[in-house]
Amino acid sequence: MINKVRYVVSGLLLVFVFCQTASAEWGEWVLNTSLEGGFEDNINFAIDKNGRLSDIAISPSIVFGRYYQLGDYTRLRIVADLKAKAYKRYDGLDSLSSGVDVAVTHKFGLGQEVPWLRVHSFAGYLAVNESLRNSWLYNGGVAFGKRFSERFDMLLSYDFIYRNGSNNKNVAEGFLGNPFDQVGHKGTLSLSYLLTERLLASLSYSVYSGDITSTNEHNDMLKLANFTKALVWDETFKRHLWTYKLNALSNEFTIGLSYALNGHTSVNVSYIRVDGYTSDLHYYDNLVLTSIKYTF
Amino acid sequence: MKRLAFTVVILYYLLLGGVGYCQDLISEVKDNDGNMVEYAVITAIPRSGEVKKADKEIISVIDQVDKTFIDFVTPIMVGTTLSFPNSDKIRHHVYSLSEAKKFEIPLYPPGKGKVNPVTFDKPGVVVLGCNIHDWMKAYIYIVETPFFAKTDKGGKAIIKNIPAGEYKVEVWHPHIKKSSASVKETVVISKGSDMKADFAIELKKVLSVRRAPGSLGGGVYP
Repeated sequence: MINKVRYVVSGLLLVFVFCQTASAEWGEWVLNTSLEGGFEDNINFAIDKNGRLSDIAISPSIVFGRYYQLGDYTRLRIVADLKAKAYKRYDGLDSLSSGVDVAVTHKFGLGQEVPWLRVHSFAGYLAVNESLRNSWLYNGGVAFGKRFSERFDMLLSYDFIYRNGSNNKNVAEGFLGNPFDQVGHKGTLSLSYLLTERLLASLSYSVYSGDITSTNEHNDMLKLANFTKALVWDETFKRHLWTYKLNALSNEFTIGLSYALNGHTSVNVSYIRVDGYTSDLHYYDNLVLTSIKYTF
Repeated sequence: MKRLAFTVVILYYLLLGGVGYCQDLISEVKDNDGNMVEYAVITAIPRSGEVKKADKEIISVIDQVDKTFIDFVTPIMVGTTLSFPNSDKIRHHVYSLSEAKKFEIPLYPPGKGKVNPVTFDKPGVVVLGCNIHDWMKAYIYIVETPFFAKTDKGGKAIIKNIPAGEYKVEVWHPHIKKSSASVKETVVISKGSDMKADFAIELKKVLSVRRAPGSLGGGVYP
């Protein structure tokens, strides 16, 4: 019942966005679509090397909505964000997420190289095939952008991330809380450089401080109790595993190349390396993603 | 009878062999690799220094279609008024920070015709941009002669009906290198066949802000 209510609320939000955008007379449409496929070598963020599980996934997404010019240099962006993800091996992770993102961007003057500042907030719902992972997602942040030349631009951002796990089943005896109730802070520096007329190289570094979940095989419950208060047994990976919450500091490096097929479409490939550290433990994850993106 | 013969001779002289005789000046522009160059502007400046002033009523247009300026290069004579219609269904914010003409047309809605007129009263190059869509860029080349033409996709430009006389002929392109041989000091336009003035120029590799989405989703002012 609760899930139905949440879907209705999400649907209403989408209808609200659509109605707002359809009646705008002087705004600008936003329509971004993407089809992404990729390989990840540690989808369960396992700390134990032998417990690492890998899979490939495909993920179509669409972002649609509208820009509204609030003034000559300030614009409001309201979009609906829909994303699906399907895994080849572990279909328990297949998911559908939807949400609404509202952002206000202000450009500090006239010209390409004038910096801009954006404040945004996102609210959405993540529905996963294995409902244990269903969650409400909230995100708010600020981003600062500056172009240094026609070839080179920079983005600096901070995001506050809040995830509210909506399914409290499978909580292990003696443990309180849901490992999918998470709070985190993420700072990112992204640089893009145009190599040729069509080829854009990107480099990004993010640092995340906050909660993560890790799924592992463990028999010693007492040992687990030493470093987590939130623990559930989890059959998402087609075996009996434990998923628990850890407080971690993660470094994320991304390197990407993007080839423009035309003014609206690009083919992209990127590699992402994530290294997470808790007080005693270390986990890492490698992702290779390819995508085709279209912007209206 | 003598008067008639005299009139015929005078008319013949004026129409075919005299000062008022007009020819076309045809130019082809290639780059150093032999590729035809589009958007080059050919200007012919009379060596006599006598230049007809622009009619203030001259109005030309730079439109915006699919978030792109049409055309990429617009040559005009000093004193010309350009209008900036907007054929898109969204607002644009056109500006120039160039010395030859600094101006700004803040966010304005779609509209056709003689809208947002701007008069260009100094020679030089004006670089146009849109403050909303960073990839939008175009050039206005303001010249002091009424004799100019822009090359097409085949690299060809024709200055029509240019009066007989001696001219300094120049080529300009937004990406031309200074080292290019861009001037022909004396080109004589005379009766008979059309005159040719071809150029081989060096172009700089200039990259503009990319419009397509990047791998990180950024790249342009969001």
